[in-house]
Amino acid sequence: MLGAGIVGLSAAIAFARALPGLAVTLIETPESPAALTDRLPGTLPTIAEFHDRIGLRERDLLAAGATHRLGTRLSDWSADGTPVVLAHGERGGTIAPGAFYQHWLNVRRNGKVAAFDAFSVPAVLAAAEKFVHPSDDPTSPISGFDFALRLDPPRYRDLLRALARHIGIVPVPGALAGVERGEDGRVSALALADGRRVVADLYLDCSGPAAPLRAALDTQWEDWRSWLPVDRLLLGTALAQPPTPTDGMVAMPAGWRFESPLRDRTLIGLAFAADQTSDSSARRILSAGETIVPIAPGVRTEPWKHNVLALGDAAVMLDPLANANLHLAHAAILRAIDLLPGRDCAPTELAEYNQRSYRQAARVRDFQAAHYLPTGRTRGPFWKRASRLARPDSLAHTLEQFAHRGRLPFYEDESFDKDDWHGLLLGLGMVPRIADPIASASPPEPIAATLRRLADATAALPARLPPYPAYLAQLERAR
Amino acid sequence: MAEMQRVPTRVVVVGGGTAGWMTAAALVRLLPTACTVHLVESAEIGIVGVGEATLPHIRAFVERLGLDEADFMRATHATFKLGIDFRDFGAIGESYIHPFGTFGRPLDDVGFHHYWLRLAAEGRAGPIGDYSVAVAAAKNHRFAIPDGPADDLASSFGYAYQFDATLFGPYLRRFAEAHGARRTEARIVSVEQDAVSGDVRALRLDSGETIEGDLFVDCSGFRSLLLGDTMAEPWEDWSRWLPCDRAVAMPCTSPEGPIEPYTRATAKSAGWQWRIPLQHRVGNGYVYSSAHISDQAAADALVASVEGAPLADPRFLKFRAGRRRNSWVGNVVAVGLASGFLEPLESTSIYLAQMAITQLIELFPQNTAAAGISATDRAEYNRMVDMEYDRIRDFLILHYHATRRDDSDFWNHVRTMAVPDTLAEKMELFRRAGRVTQYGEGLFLEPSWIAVYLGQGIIPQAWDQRADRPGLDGLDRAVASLRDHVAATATAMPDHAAFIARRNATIAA
Repeated sequence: MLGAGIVGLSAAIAFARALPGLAVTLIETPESPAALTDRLPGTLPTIAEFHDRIGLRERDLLAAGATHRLGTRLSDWSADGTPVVLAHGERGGTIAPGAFYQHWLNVRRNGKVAAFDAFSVPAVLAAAEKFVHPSDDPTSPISGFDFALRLDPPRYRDLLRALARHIGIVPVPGALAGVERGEDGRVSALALADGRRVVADLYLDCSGPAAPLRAALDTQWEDWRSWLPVDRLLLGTALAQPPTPTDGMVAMPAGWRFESPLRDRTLIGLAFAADQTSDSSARRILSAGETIVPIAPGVRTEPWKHNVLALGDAAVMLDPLANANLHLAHAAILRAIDLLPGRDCAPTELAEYNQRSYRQAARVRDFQAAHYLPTGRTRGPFWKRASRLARPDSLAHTLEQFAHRGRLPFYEDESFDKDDWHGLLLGLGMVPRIADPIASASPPEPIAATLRRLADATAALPARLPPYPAYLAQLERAR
Repeated sequence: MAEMQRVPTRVVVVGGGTAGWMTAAALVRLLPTACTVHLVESAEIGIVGVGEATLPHIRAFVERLGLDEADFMRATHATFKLGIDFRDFGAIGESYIHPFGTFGRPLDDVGFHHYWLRLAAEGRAGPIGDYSVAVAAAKNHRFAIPDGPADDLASSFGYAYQFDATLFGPYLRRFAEAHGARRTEARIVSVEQDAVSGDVRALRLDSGETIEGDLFVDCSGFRSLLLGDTMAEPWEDWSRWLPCDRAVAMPCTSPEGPIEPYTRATAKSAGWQWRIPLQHRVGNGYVYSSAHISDQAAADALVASVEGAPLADPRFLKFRAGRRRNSWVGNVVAVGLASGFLEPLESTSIYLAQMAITQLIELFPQNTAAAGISATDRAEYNRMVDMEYDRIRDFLILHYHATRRDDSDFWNHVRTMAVPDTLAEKMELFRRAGRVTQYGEGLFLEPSWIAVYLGQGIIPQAWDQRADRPGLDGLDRAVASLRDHVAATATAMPDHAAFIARRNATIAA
């Protein structure tokens, strides 16, 4: 395995845990600043499953500086400027035949109703910067939602290093000098700068976007720059804030900035388009910015070829908009283990792996691109262009169906479920043209009254909960 | 929106078979304000009505309509179905049950069948069916409603119904009429179309009456009166993969003894034969390829093999595998056999009708007088129907292609024919190390594919390497104990026939 950042360590541990007989050599190459998956704090709720698999408990993660991430507040993002809070989980429940969001839309079409995120318990908690673990009791109002973690990347990497060492994997520093290939196209050995040769059955490239190992086979790459407007990030650090379960993303004329408060500092960043905003302008906008990271959103259509598997930014590059970078890497690792072929790395398993990985990444891309809907903010050069970008077919299909009658067509290997899509599209103000016939069979007045009651009841929840710093302290005392 | 509700869409359903009354009942029940429903049927035209076996999805339909299961089962003489017993498909003398349920349970993120493959290679595993509660219950003629926590064996299966399809339609008819559906008994003599759009405007009946509508649902069966005849939608032929094009059906009396909670499918020299036990009789039929056997020989084979006394003369059906290119054209939607046909090997006919109805409701056209029918909705509907048909098609082809039979021209043909690439890839993936192509939406999920692959002799060359982690003896003991637990769970269930009798008695009381 080439690369011992978060992606490389995650892969090494997961492979070794799954197959204790494997001999893993982890080559620690100089870190690439552009390897975003190794550097970003955001995750999705699926990280819990990955941690279960490799044997990390929540308390280990809290001890390594992680905090809970319940939702993201998008500010200045909607057309009227109202903040939109995105969180993971269902809304409203069953109030009458038909889907909840269709009832909400019906009431909205006829008059006033609370914002869609006012019916999401995690979104309301996140708006109030409160967090508690969801109850297992489905009748509890505080149940039926998911949460993610906000990592402190260097400390998380240290935690993974310690876990790796515990199971006998110690990264060896080294730099790749060459890739030896056999006549069949497969890699036969890696040559390191210090003269060592590393021979393996399977080679993993976790070294970041340059992917010198995987790129030795071919450089095919699907460019997504025409679908996504961000091609440059300015990353930095600001003073600590009280712990919060809520990330912030703020739309600005030049793009958007984000804030991820860690325990002892806050990670910040500005996402922009290089041809519209110079690096020096970006530094003026985000004065605490330190590092410029260029990104070329896109995907390797064949991340696994012969006996070389690319993971993390070596396989797919996306900006942090939907916090899915590490999620995609984890999903890829688990998929590779599920489909692990024998030493022959037969094309049958590789084709299945590559197809599913591509589909999954493409839908994350679609979800990101949907953040730039013309129903959202359109002021400023970045947003004017973003709202007019061409759309991939799968996203065009999704938006066409949703705009028409609020339907979300099914796609395989979707990372964001219907609730996530509803939260984004309805939160940004999309209103389907046609009312749902099933929901419309219910008389409107009682539905409107039910929604008022629900919104009031949900709004009253945060006041009953402790502030997040107190909750966190309580969890840590219990440790 | 309020205005849309004031102008309900006038739906005209053509045909009063199973698909027609399912459509009418669902529309009046679920869209009471968005539509009016008028069904036209003719007693002179018989219904196919052999779709007696169903899939577990039917329960969602029954539930959504708000039907009482016990009442519905008594009215249609229904029995419970835990799966299908496939005999002589992989090779003569072999059999397996495709259950509505899982095999064992995953262990450390790895599917049970991988461990089973490892043990089987050591000669230390029983048939895969020994690890399925649905299979064990089916073999012992037992049944109970699945219940308990999600990871409990007692909830590791689903069930469907086997019912008298000629009673199912009338049962739904009473329901639909009670909820406001209109019914006209007449023959359609002509169809009036819009000169410009080609949309159907009205049906002229032999009574002289004319029925106008905004949306026409073609449930006319194989005739495909509106979609096929009027709209002339082209046919996509699949007989190169699914050569059976006839069936001969004949019910008989139930034999003495228990009622099997499963359907039986027995491969024959030129097709296969079904056996569906109902409360009061047994449905039988031979599905065959007319290129490989004559009608008379097929009927003779059927009559010779039924176990009870015949209750009717053999009845013949002609069909072909395939579907109309689009199921929704203009303002005509075909539901059921009018849109396409896949042979009943996996009891998919009623499911396909149900799926079509569910999609139609989700994409239901409103305010058609002003807005017409949206091309977006039609395209999405047709896309969904396509996906379902394609996946079921591949699964059905597998039953024919995965065979070692070489005893007849028919089996030699299907064994050696080229199959769709999508299926060839799935089979290769399984053959290598027991992996099943994953998809989130689609009728048949992993356990179904595993059942048929293994049941028909596709034994993977290897298994997931993680299944090698546990020590062999410990694994053997754990799996043997699972088998005992499965057997005990099944044995604890009530007798199937007794369960039904008790249910019927509670209604009568």
